[in-house]
Amino acid sequence: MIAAMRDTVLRNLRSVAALAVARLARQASEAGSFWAGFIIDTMVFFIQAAVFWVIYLNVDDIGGWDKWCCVFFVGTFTFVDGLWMSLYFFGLVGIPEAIQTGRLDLYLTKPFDPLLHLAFERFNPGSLFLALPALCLVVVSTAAMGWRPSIASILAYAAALLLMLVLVFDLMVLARVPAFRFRRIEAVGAMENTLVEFAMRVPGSAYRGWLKLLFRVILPYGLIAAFPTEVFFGDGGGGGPLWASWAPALGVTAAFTALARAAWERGLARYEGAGG
Amino acid sequence: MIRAFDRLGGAAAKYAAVARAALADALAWRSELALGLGASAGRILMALVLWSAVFAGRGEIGGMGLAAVASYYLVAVFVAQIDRSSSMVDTFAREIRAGEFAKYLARPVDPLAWFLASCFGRSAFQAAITAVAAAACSCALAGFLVPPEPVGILAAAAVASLGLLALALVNFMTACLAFAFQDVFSFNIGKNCLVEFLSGALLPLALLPGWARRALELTPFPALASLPAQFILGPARGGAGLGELPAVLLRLALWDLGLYLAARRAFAALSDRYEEAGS
Repeated sequence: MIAAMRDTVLRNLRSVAALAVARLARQASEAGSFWAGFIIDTMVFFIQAAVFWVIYLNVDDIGGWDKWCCVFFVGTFTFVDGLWMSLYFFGLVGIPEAIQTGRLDLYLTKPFDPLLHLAFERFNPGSLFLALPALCLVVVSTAAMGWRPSIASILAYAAALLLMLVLVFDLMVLARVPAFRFRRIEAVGAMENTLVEFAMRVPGSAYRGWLKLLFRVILPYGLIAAFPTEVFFGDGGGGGPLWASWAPALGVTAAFTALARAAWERGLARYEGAGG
Repeated sequence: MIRAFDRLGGAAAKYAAVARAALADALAWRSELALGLGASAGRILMALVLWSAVFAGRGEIGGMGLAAVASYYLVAVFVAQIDRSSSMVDTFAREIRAGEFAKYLARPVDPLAWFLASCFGRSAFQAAITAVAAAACSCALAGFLVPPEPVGILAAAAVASLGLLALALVNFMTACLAFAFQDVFSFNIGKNCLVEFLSGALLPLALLPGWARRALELTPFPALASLPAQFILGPARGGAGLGELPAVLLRLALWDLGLYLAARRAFAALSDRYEEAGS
């Protein structure tokens, strides 16, 4: 049983690696699109940093976060965004089209998890370059605050980023499984974009009361950049990781992973293929 | 003369039919309606969450109180939502790249007029949705929002119409880039983000430094969010007065004319590169 599970996991990992290598070779032949995407993505996040900058021209803090904390927050979102765009974004946005055209049939016949195959087949290394300006925002804001992070803070931050990558994957899958039932789901995409904007444009310190429950548990887009930021700064004064915040984030991510997988399996059960 | 009027009437009827077809297409997808309303309301909620935290313990920022900022966003977000020409860029670009653009060449239609008519039909549908969502949000937040200036609403509608036309023309030129580039998706995203920032949909332009505000006043972008909101707020609440309206409308009309000529020139210059699939 355990050996069979290990074989499945290893086979899936090998397949993901093979897809990544194939995509790298293809991307290398399209330098124009590669650089255009990089420049535009970077501009988007610098505009968001500029938005916070303008707000801080008029106020000193937002819910207790100063301007450098917000710049760090934007840098963190950019970092996570660069990773999810490179790893699975372009694959997952193709799910509705795969369902509607019957392309999904091909994935069901292969010895590789169809969801992982769809997600990682459009691996986009160009988006990884977004991590560079993101890292600049993170490092510059940390330095400007005059704060020297501990190794534990850095490791906790990295772990929080990975956890949020899993959560974003789940949220993207959940936003696309309605394609098994509806022919057109552009409005779901518009709704998802609005919620992702919450993750980028509303600092974690702005959520209070029921909004905290709504955007950190029920629709946990508010966790994506806020959670790693809070983990890095601990209690806000450089006092180390805030371990108490891990349990809710882990619980929410686990629940959404189970929900996304169940919704996907349920969708597959009603999928009738191209000729169905 | 009569023949010229006949031709004009025939063209108007033709593009009115294109706009009606786009409207009917948008109306056919009813589940989109409910979700579209939700997305619009979500943006308002986002602005309220952010600015409630920004205003915590503060009376005014940039000459505006929290109620004025909330009213500003209600108008700015919904005017920004009406535009459908940005999403038309991807459709138009895909047709160019896939060799389907020939349908405009084979029919007696002008691609620019077709693009604008189609945008108008889709935007009319979106305007209806956003009007309902705006009314619902106004009712939900009644007592909190600043009451609108009735004449200001008309001024805002005139300004927003000219602004949306300018944006549609910019979007047509963005779509024309598909004649020269493989992928205009990134250009479109970048343009959308810039327009969002420059229009004041992300934050009230009153918060920008004076030099930036003066520079932006010379562009058509504030007509997509900031100016309509300012006319509805009125001068007493940090907005704009009707005395400024003629100059604003004249400036926008000149921009529309300039962008129309630029769009014509861009199409003429780039469409020569078009090669049908298989040619």
